[in-house]
Amino acid sequence: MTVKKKKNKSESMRYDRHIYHDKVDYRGPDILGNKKENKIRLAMVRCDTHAYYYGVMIQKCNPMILMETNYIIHQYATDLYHPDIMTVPQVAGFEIVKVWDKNFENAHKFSKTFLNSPKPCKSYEEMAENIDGAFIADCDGSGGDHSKLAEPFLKKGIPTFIDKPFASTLKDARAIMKLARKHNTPVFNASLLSYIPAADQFKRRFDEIGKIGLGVVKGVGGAFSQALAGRKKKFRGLEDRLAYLIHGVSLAMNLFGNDVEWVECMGTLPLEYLHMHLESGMEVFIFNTSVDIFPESCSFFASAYSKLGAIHSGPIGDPEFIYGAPRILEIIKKMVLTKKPPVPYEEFVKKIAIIESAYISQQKGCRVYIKNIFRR
Amino acid sequence: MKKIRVGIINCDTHGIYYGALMEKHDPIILWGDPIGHAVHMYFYTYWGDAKKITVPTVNGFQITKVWDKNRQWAENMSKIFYGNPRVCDNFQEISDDVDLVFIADCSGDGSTHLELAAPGLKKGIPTFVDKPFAHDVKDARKLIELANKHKVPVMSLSILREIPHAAKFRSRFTEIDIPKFGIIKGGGDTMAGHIHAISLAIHLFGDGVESVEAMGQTPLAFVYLDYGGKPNRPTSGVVLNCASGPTYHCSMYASAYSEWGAIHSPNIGDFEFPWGAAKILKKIKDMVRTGKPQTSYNEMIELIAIAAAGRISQKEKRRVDLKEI
Repeated sequence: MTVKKKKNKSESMRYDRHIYHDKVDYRGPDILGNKKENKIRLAMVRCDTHAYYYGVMIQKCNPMILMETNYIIHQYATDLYHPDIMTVPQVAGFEIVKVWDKNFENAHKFSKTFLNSPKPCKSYEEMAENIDGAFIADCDGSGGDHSKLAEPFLKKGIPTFIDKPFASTLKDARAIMKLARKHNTPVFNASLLSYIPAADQFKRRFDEIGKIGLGVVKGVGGAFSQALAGRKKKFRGLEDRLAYLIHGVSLAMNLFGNDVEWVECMGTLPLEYLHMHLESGMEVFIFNTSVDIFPESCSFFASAYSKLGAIHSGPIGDPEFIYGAPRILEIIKKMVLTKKPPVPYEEFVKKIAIIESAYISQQKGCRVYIKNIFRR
Repeated sequence: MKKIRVGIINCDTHGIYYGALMEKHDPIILWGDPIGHAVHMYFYTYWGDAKKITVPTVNGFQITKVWDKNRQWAENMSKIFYGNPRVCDNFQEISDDVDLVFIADCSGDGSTHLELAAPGLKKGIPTFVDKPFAHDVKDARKLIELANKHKVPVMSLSILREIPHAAKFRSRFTEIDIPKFGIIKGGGDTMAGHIHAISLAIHLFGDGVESVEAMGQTPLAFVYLDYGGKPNRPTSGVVLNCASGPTYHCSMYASAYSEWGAIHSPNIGDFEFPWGAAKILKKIKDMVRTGKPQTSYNEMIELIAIAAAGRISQKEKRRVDLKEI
């Protein structure tokens, strides 16, 4: 005789959730062989679009709730004809256990989107308890609060990912780096444009033209934030654009090299026409003009020129960005597991130094050496 | 129809270049000439026959006189044209008994052009002044004043202003609607190169530049042209990347961007330039026949003003309005 167990309401809800779970069981094998109990317990700081962006790649979610809580990410993360089927790549080995946002309601919404319902924390101090890693998300901020947000984790030795820009000033960037070193805590920072496969694909074409003399990146630093201007009452300039400007610098350094020796800058918009001179002798130009009128369009373009000719990338935009995120997540995982910084801190601090140098150059109309900025 | 008698001042690469497109010449002597050799390379690309020209030529011209401050160059050039052009002792002689004075200039900065053009203009001889028209706006204005005073046309054009390959690229702009931003790659660090880059920008994106900014480690390395929000002009302007490193046979490139995407030109270089030169020669012929310049004086001055504004901007580290110039 079989006994039919009566489902209570909460079990039914769990079952409903598992429908989605089954439908979206697309995760590949955990390459590190992590069992569930060994998953990295992650604290997600700031429930903005980037938190959802990375979140849906590391944690199963309810796509239909995602549609309500963040329709932008839902649009990019799901099948066009099946809104309940997630299509973004997955990175196993993480579990978001805590979330925080200065607006608690946002944290609550984020929590209900994901199947394990990470705990929305009211107090920020709580975030650094019983976790293995911290993820400070930042979609369009200037990075001005990163130092403050990272501090509790760094002091407790919790490996921390800080979304781009690493900081809004070189002073802040150095302070974070110093704190991380003091507490022997690894920190990692990345723009999607530093790890995006579309950039690698374009780089592979460099062989076609040999040694490059001039590299060009058409960025979105001016445009995208201009589109945002209509939504903000106060439009401050560089700070409002930093989230986008850093992407252009990241893509340029990814494609053409990190050895930026000095910069020059001109134009009306902050960092509108940015020239970077590389120690290799290569000249790199980043254009942060306002050509994108479609508010959510943010395609980058890159070109490379040499004695043998020119090559041009296709658009590197939202559809391409997605594939940079899993790479960043894998690096975060490695950082948490090894407790070591995955890349030298100087690599991402230099990007902030470039931004700061370019800003000074544009204000004063002079060439600014990166080494001099570091000496200040 | 009677041929246009041409007196050529400066027997540099451009003198021979344009000369070889307008007049019969000995390709083997051209090939063996230290300056003409490069011209032969791009005009005779049928490798199986060094005497078979492969670029468009323009008939109706007869080179009757040549002059160069290096007399040997003038004599060498005359030999290329079967010894027919008479080598003059001074440039003032060039404008006697000719229908056209052609001041060639491959890589100069244009600072001698007023002096070289003045005798011919005063004699009422239509004059073509190779690029740059002049080194500064003051000289450019004087040239036009002189031409107006003597009721004679003067004209200056860069190959990049006329090259059909650029026009074909421009016709692709419909793919992205009106470009909101443009890039020109190429030009180098000389005034001669800068004018090419500026000319290509004007050819593709239009005239009417209002202000200029420049920076970089070499003269006019990176130049920003602002159209001041004029309709049908790139709202985010055009940037000239003159400090562009090595390039394929002097190739220049252009890119245009809008909210619809990006388009990029193919190489526009030495293998394409002859088509632009031929187009210029046709315009010169029209100028001589009609007695009218085939391009606007305003544009000729604008090109020089842009370069001059760029130099000031780079020196004084500020945006320079063309009205200042």
